[in-house]
Amino acid sequence: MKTGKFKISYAVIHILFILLALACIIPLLLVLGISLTDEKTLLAEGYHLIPRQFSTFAYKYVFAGATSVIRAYGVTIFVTAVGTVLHLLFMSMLAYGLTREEVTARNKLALFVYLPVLFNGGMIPTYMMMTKYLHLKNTLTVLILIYLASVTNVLIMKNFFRSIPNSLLESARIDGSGEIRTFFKIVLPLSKPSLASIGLFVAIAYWNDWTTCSLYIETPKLQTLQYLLQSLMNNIRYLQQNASASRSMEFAIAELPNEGARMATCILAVGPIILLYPFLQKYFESGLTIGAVKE
Amino acid sequence: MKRKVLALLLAGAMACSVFAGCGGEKDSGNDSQKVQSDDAQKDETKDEEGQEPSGEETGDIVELNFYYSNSPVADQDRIMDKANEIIEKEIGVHLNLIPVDGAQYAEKMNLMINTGDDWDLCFTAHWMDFYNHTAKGAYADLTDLLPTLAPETYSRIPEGLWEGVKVDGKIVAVVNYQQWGAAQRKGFRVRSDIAEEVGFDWKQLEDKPTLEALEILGDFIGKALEAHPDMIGWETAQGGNLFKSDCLYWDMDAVGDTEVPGWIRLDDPKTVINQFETDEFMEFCKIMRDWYEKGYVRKDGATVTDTTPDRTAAKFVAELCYGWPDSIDFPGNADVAKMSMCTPENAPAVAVSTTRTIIPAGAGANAAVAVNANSKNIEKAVELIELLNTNDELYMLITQGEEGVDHVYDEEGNYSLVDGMYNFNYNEWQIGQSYSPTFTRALYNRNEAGEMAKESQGIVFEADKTADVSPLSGFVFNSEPVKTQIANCSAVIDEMLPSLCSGSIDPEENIPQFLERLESAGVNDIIAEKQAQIEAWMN
Repeated sequence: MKTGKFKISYAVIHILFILLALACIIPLLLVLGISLTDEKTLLAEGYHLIPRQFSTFAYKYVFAGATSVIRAYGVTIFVTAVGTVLHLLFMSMLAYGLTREEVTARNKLALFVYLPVLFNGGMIPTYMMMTKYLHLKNTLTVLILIYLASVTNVLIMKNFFRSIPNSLLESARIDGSGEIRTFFKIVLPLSKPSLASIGLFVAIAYWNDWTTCSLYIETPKLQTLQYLLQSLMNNIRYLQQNASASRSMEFAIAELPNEGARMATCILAVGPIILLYPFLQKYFESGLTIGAVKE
Repeated sequence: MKRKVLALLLAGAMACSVFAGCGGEKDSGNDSQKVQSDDAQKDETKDEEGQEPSGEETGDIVELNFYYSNSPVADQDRIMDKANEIIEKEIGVHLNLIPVDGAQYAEKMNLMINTGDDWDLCFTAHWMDFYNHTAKGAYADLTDLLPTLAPETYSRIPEGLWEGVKVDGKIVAVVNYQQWGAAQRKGFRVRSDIAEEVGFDWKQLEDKPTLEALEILGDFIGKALEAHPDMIGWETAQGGNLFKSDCLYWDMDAVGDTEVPGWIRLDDPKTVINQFETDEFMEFCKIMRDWYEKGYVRKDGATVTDTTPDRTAAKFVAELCYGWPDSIDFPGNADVAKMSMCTPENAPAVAVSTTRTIIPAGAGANAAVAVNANSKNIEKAVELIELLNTNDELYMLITQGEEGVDHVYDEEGNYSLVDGMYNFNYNEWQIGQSYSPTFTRALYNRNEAGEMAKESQGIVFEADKTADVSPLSGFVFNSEPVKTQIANCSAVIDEMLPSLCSGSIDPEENIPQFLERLESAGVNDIIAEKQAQIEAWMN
């Protein structure tokens, strides 16, 4: 009787989580299904998980300027990889410095970090700074630089570094480890869980960023994937809405794979970044055991 | 191992910043020179672009940045290299044609103008901050330059259109006069196959006032839906209806934005009226209510935002038609011979014009090119505009790519664009005039259909010279004094107009309520303000 009850609650929990998992995975599969369905069939029969009329036209449309999509992938991957590493490096160094008692002016320094949260330049000064003084328009650097600092992440890391026992660092010093060695060999490895979760957020921010590209990048060579996909969709929408502005557009509109292309861009956009999650999962788990180091 | 990975990534990052440094330096060199010569040296400063690899012995090529709104264009470098060969030879200018994504264009131009960024020419329009930017003095005064430096551009465009790009009597932008002309004449379009099937004489709609035409269409839609129950009689949507933007159907024109209360009747341009108080509005809503109850329109019409799926699936029996000449005046006009977003095969149609022919108030600034008032190469920029507008070879190259590579003609003479090659995304209307008296600035089929298209466009060009010009041409409504009232009224309109115009609520009961709410939102202030500004402008 007891075990029976146990099994029922077990079953309920399992069913609940199976449903939750399905709720996560089915929309994604549906998107995939739609992206592979013929546009006319979509209009006539609606959305189906398994394409009624298989077609790769939407992907063909997206890849029509194939080189640009592939190059955009390259730019995005580079910016995401380099940007995330640099972000973690600089933010952890800053946060570490702000937690060390040896840095006597740390509270005053911290003011410089927190002040911009309340008072920041806003868009126009930022744009002027970037273009007129730093001359970063049309460079890869601007794509990386713009997300290089984040006060929130400094705060999170600062709190995390505080949990690292001071005696550990002191013993390292006694054993003859310099500050830099201590930081890279002891502090950072201990901080993997926080680095992983912050790294994931940062990577996603870099991956999904298209506004920076739209403001500062003018050469097609440096366009990021999200910007390209976004303007591809805009182009379709724009062609459909402004048919009256240019009558020559009317001819093109009937051919456009609207729904299909929208879903195809979705798939392309989530593509590689989705692989990050399983890769970083083990660090999320170990995040739960953070308290293992005893003072 | 991990250290190696980190080192590698760091090295990559450094390499990247080194390259970026190079790019930056070049820019900075450029800029400092520009700053030096920036102090209103309007006379030609030709030597600041020494580093431009032009291949010309003269070495005095001026670089001009032209911003416009377009999605990324494949193969742009190949075409622009060729185009620049022509431009450099003709006027010694190197053109950087810079596309900005449509969703960001307005914001980006705003930023560039406010920060004094480096741009020379840009696309502008009254629906894209034209008045806003002119108020800031962002655009150069071209009144004196145009007749001397761009005589052909200036003389080709019907005089009425220049009024639309004048601010305080000064021309601040160059009209992009298009192959389909500027004069408007609107009407209705019905499915020709179904009209024939149920025996409907569509020609009787000709020149009928809109209400009468709708009554006639109602009968036809009823019969058509009996035969085709899966179709939809008429398009209703949240975003568009005959009282939102189509003043011409009521023989009216809007003072300022079309959605704000305060239109004028074309026959009585001195009196501003509230379009929602008119008998026409009541009658129109009654007709839509009737159609709604009979099931001629979608039941969820008041909330539908995107009707594209219905359109592409050829579901509509009848619709509005903005194109002309219609199927009576010019039976071969292929532009109007199919329903919107359909093909002549799945939805053949005939069009009838019902309104008068008019050049609307905003026509001039509908699409225009402006020059940066702070550019130090204003003359060169105007020369470039003239070149783009008169050198057909250059214009066709930029807007349509190369024949045989980017677009091809089949045996029957029909042209088509080649997939995956250079494609300007049909944005040719942004960078110059696609109008040409000899039809050499757009792609036409090299057969009878192409000739028909030319002939039908010729009719519009003729009309542009003779059509009525809207009595409001050149008038700019300053909405600042009644900003709050407009916002309040817009909220009421957004809430109730779609329901009224799609028939979902009873007009007898709700229009009085609608008007009452508009009144408490301050509609009378708006009308009075518009009236006062119009009177001041007319005198």
